[in-house]
Amino acid sequence: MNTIVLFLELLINSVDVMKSKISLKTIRPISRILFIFLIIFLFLDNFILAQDMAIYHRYKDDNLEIPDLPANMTLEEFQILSRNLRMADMAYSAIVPGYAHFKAKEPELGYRILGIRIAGYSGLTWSYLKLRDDDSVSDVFETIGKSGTYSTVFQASLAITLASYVYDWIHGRAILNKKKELIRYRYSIKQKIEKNLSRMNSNNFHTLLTFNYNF
Amino acid sequence: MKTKISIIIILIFLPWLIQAEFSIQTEYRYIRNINRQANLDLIADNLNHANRTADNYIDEENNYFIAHFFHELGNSYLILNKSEKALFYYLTQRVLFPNDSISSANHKIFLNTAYSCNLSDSLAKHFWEQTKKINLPTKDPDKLLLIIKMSIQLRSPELTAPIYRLGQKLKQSPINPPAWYKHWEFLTRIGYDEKGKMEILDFNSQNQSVFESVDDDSKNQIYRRAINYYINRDADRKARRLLDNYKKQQLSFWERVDFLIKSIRIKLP
Repeated sequence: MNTIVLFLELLINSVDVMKSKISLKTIRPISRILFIFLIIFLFLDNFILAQDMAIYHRYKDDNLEIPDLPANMTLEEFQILSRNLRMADMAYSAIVPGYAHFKAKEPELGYRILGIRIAGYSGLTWSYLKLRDDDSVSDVFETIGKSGTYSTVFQASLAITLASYVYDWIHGRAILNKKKELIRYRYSIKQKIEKNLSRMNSNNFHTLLTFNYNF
Repeated sequence: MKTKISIIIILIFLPWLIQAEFSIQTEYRYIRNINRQANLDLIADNLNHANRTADNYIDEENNYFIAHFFHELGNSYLILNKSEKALFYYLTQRVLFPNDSISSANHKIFLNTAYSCNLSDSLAKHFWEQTKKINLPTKDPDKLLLIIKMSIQLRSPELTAPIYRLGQKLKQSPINPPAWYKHWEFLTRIGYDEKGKMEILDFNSQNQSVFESVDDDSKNQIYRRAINYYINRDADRKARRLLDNYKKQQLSFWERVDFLIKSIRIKLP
C-alpha cells in the first residue's frame, strides 16, 4: 500500500516539477530519489535497451538460431566471434578477477590477473586490520596520502587492485576485438579467393531458367 | 504501354554459395598474401589452419600449389623466428613435393635456416644435398623416413607432434618401420624429450627392443620411465613384467629404493 502511495506521489510530483509548479527541493527526500531515478531511466533507456536488459518482448529465441558457419571453423574461433564484452561484464570483471581475459580465451593472463588481485586483496586486508588496531588512526581511509608502513601497503594494495581491474577490462576487450578482427579478416579473404577461383574454374557459365512475358 | 516481366530462377546454386573446406589454391594464395605483409599476429593466427591443411595434403600427388604452400608455410615460421619448424616444412616440401623453381631460389635461405637451428655447416649442407631431387628415394615410405630422420636430428620439442604424425602415415604404408623409428616412438610415449632421445637413439640399430641397443645407465633410466608410464596408466601387468626385468639389472642403492617404491605402487589399488 505504501508503495502505491509513494508511486502516485512520485507521478504527481513529477508532473508538478515538469510544469515548474514546485521546486525539487520541496519534495520529500525518498520521493526525490525516486524522481531522479525516473528521470535517469527515461533519458538512459536507449543505452539500457542497447545493453543487457531485455525489457522489450522477444519474438524469437536467439539460442535456437543455427549460424551458417564456414565448414572448417574451429569451436574456439566460433566462441571468440560470438562473444562480446558489454557493460554487465564490467561488473563481473570486478567480482571475478581476470574475467575479461578468460572470456577472450587468454587464460594465462587471466590467472596472472587473478594472482595479482589476490595479492592486492591480501595487502588491503592485512594493512586495514593493522591500521584499524592503531589507536592513533581514527579512520583508515584518512591515511591515504600519508606516510607509514601500513598506510603505504594499504595504498599500494589499493592501487594494484584498481589497476588490475582496469587492465583486465581494457586489455581483455582489446584482445577480444583483435582476435575477432583476425578471424574475420582470414575468413573473408579466403572466401573471396575461393569465390574468384570457383568463378574462374566454372568459366562463368551457370545454369539458369528465365521466363519473359511481354504485354 | 508495353510491360515486360522477367522471372529468373536459379536452378543450381552457384558453387561459391556452398561453404566448405578451402582449396589448397586458396590456402596458398592467402598464406603468400600474409607472409608478404609480415604481420606477426596475422601469420600466427593462420598457423593452426595451415598446419591442418598441410596434414590433409601430405599424401597428395605433387603439384605447383602444394609445393608452394609448404614452402610458404616454412616462410611463415621463419618470419615468426621458429627456425626448426621452418626447416621441417622446407624439408617436407623438398622431399615430398620437389619443385625446381623453389629449389633454385632458396638455397641460401635453406642453409641460413639450418644454421639458425644450430646445425653444423656440414650437416646443413648434407641436408640440402640429401633432399636434392636427384638424390631422393623413389618410394614414398622411404621419403617419409628421410624427413623423419632429419627432423629428429633437429632436436626440437616443437617437432615431436609433426614427426609423430608422419610416423602414423608411415605405418599406413606396407613397409615395416625400421628399429630406430620404433625406438623413437617408444621413447616419445614414455616421456623423453627430443634432446634425451637423440642421446639414446642409434640410427644403425637393428634390435627390435630399445633396451638391447643402449648402455646400462641409459637402460636403467628407460626402465624407470617406462615402468612409471605403465603404472600411471594402470597397465599393471606390463609394468610388472618390466619391473622383473629391471630387477635383473645392476642396480645402485638409490635404484633399489626406487625399485621398492615402484613395487609398492603396483600393489596399491
